Amino acid sequence: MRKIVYKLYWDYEKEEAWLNRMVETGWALVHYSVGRYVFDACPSGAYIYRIELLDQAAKHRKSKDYLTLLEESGIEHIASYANWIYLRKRADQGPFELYSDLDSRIAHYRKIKKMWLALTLAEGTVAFVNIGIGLLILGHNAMTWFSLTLIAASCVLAVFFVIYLRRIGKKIGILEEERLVRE
Amino acid sequence: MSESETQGALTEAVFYILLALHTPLHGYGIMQLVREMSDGRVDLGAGTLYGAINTLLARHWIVPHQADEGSRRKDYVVTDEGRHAVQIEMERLEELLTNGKQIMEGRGDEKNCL
Repeated sequence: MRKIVYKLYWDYEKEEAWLNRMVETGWALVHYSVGRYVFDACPSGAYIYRIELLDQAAKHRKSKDYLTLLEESGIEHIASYANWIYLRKRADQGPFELYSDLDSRIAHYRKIKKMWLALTLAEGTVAFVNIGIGLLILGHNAMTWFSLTLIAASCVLAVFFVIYLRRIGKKIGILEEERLVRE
Repeated sequence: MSESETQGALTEAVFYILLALHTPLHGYGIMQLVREMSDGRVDLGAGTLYGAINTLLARHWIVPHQADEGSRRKDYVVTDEGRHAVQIEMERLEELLTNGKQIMEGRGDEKNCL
């Protein structure tokens, strides 16, 4: 049996938690492309899913060694999107964590923060350009509503990006505080 | 070797990876050996291990080891610098342990004195 769900996530940890809840209800992710999740029926709780951001796309030759390592340690590479990879391991093979110490968890969060920062800057630029265009065409009634909608949309998006960036920043802060006393 | 490479504690992951690589081994082999050496306590995550391998390669504490022709797995082995780092870390750990034992195990007597 197969099931397709359309959904968009900002937060990869929420996405990961959702994939693991789907497994509990007997659905295992088998394909992913932007916003489209394909699930196959599975015994409830059969797998643990993890999502990870790599330095390069999974197809890149520099990712090959890592993917080999994953495969050997019983981890299946289910799907990729940009530099993100979707992984799973059979739950009966024990716990599945990609990062086993604070340093590497902090490094992974930093990588994600950097990527979102770049996206936020790009989005912010789009918002400013929209505002600029809006000011230029002020008074030309036919375009005003269109322009206002664009401005509102890009500003709302930028606010969401900034909120998410701050959330990642907080997570890094908590781990760094813990890192002061232990590894 | 620069000072920054010899000062400070090694992470547990780095220490065990360097130990595991006293004989050439590939990534998954390191994971298994470290788990075995630590009686299952240290279970290196694939992401953690891969990051540490790259850091150690950049520092020349480990180097790729010529594996069998056609093998798609990469083997690594510890270098003299890597061994040196382990040696220094062991001396540091010994100092910690000696001091810890002296004070913690002597604590009961101290209390009686007070």
